[in-house]
Amino acid sequence: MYRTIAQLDSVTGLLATWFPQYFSRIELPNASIEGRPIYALRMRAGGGEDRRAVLIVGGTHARELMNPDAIVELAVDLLVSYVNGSDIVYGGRTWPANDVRILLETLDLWLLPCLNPDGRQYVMTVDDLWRKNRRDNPGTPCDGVDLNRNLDLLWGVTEGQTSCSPCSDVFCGPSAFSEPETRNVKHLLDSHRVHCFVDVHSYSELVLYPWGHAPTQTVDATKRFTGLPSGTCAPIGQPGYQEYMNPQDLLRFQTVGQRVVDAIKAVRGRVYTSQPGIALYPTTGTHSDYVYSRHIADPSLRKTYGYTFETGPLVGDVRESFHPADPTLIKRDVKSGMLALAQQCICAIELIGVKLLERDTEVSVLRRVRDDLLGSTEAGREWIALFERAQGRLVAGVLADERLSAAAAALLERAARLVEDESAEVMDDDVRRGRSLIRDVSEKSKDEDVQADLQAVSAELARMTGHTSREAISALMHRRPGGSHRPRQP
Amino acid sequence: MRGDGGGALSLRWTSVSIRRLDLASEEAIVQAGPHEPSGSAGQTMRFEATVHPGEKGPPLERVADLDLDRVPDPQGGVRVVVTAEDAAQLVARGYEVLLVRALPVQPLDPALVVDDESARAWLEEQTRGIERQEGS
Repeated sequence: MYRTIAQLDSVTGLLATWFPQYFSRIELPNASIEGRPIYALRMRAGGGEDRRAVLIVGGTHARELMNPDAIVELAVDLLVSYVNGSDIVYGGRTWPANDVRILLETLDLWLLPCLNPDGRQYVMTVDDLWRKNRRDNPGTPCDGVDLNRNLDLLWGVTEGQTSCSPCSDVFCGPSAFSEPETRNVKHLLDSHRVHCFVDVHSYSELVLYPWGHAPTQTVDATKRFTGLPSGTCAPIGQPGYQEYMNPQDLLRFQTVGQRVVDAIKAVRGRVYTSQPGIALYPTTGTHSDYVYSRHIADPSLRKTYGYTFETGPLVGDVRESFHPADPTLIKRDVKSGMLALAQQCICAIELIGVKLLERDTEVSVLRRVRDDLLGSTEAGREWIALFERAQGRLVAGVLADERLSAAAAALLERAARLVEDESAEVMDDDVRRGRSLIRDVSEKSKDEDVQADLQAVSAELARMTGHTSREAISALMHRRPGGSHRPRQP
Repeated sequence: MRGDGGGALSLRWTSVSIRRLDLASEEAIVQAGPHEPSGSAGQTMRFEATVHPGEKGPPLERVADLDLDRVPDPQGGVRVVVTAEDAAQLVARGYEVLLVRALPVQPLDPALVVDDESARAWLEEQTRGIERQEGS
C-alpha cells in the first residue's frame, strides 16, 4: 500500500507538530511545477549546532512508489526507538537503542520523502509508470523532465541513458537545475553540512556510488569532469575516457557501500550489490554524482558522499517491480540500509572530540594525518577503511560507558600530541592504554569482523613502542592491517 | 527474427519476436498508432521488452541513441518500456526485440493506495504513548 502525496505531507506535518523537540519541517523554497509545496523534515535529538547531516531523498522518479513511504516510516521507527529506548528490529538485523540514540544526538537527519509530488499524483491518477516530473515541454506533445538527469554534473551530455529530447523518459530538461524540484535539493546542500546523501530509487537491489558517466580511475588526476564540455547534447566524445577519483574516496565509497549491503542482507538475506553507477548504465546529471562532484567543481564547498539505492528486485514485470502489491519487506530492507548509511556518516573521532573534549583541536590534527599521510598510500587507506567500517559499531558502546569514554578521550588527546611532535616517542604506557581500550571495546562487540579489525589494530599498536610518532605513522602507511609490508608508494 | 526496417507499422510488427503477449495486447498495438512518442499525452499502450543485438545490427550499447525508457535488467541486458513506434525503430535499426508484455497506460490500482483514515490511524498507533506537544 502506498500513501498519497497528501498523506505523506500529513505524516511529516503531524510529526513536526506533535514532536517538535525531534522534528522540524520546512517548506522548501521551490514549489513543484504544478504548484505543490515540497517539504523536508529534519530529525535530531539533543542540542548542538552545525552538525553533520545526512540527506535522504525519495520519490525522484514518480513510479518508484515505495521509497517515500519507507522514508517517513523510518522517521517514525527512529522516534519510537529514541523515546522508548527500544531497539529497532528489522528481521534479522537489530539496531540497538543506544546506536539510534547516538545517531540522533550526533547527526541531523534531513528527510525529503517525496521530491516529485506532481509525478506521484500522476502515477496514482493517470499513468502508474510515469517517471518524470510534470513540466510542460513547449512545442512538443511530451511532458516531463527526468529529475535525476537535471543536475549540474555534465548536464546535457547525452552519455548513455540521458537525452536532450523532451519526449524521452530520460530528458535532462532545458538547462541544469531548470526544475524547481532539483533546485530544492541544491538548496539543502547549500544550506546544511551534508556529509552523506542518498537518493532512493527502485529497482535492482543496488547501492550505487559515483561515477555514472565514465569508469572510475585513481591514477590520472588531470582527467576530471571539469575539463569536459557540458550541455552539448552529445556523448563525452573521448573514446576510453575515465573519470578520476582520489583513491581514498573510492575506498570509502566501497567500504560504506559494503556496510549498507551487509545491513540489508542481515534483514532477510537479500543480497544487494554495491557498484559504481555506470555499472547499471551510463548517466549524467544525477543526484549522487552531483553531490559528490560539488567539492571538485568548487573547492570551497564541502565534500558530500553521494549514493543511489535501487530498492527491490525485478519481479514478474516492471509494473510489479516499481510498485509491488506488498512492499513491506523491501521497505524493511531499505530502512536498514538507510540506517547503515547514516551510521557510517558518524565520525567517532569527531564525536569524541566534540562531546568529551568540547573542542576540535585534536580532531583537526588527526584529520590531517588521515588525509595527508595515510590517505596517500594503499596500506594507509586500508587502515582508514578499517577504522571507518568499525567505528560505527563501536562508538555507541564507548560513549555509553563512562570509563571507556574517559579512556578514549585521553587517548585522543595523547595521539594528537604525539603526531604534532614527529620526534615524540610512543611510550610503553601509551601502547598499554591503547590496547587496554581495544580489549574492553572488543569484549562489547559481538561482531566477528569488528573483533578481527580490533585485533589488527592492537597488533600494530604493540609494534609502536619506542618508535617516534613519525616512524609509527610511516609504518601505518606501508604495512597494511594484518601485517604485510607494502613497498613505499608515492 | 529480424526487422525489415521499413513498411507500415503492422508490417514491422510481423518481424518482431513476441513472447507471452496475449491477443488483447496485440489488438492494443494497433490502437497505439505510429505517431505517439513515449511521454506524450496521447500514448495509450506500451510494452516491456528486451533488446538483443541482431546479426548485423549496431552494438547493444547504441540502444541509448534512441532515448528509450530503459529499466534495470538483473542479467545486465537491455530492458525497455517502449511504444509500438519505439519497438519498430529498434527493429528497423537491426536489433531483435522481444516483447515481454503489454503495459497499458493506467493509474495505479486504487487498491494499492492507502485511504486517509488508515494513514492517520497508522501514525496514531505507531506513536501511541509518546507524549505530544501540548495543544497539538
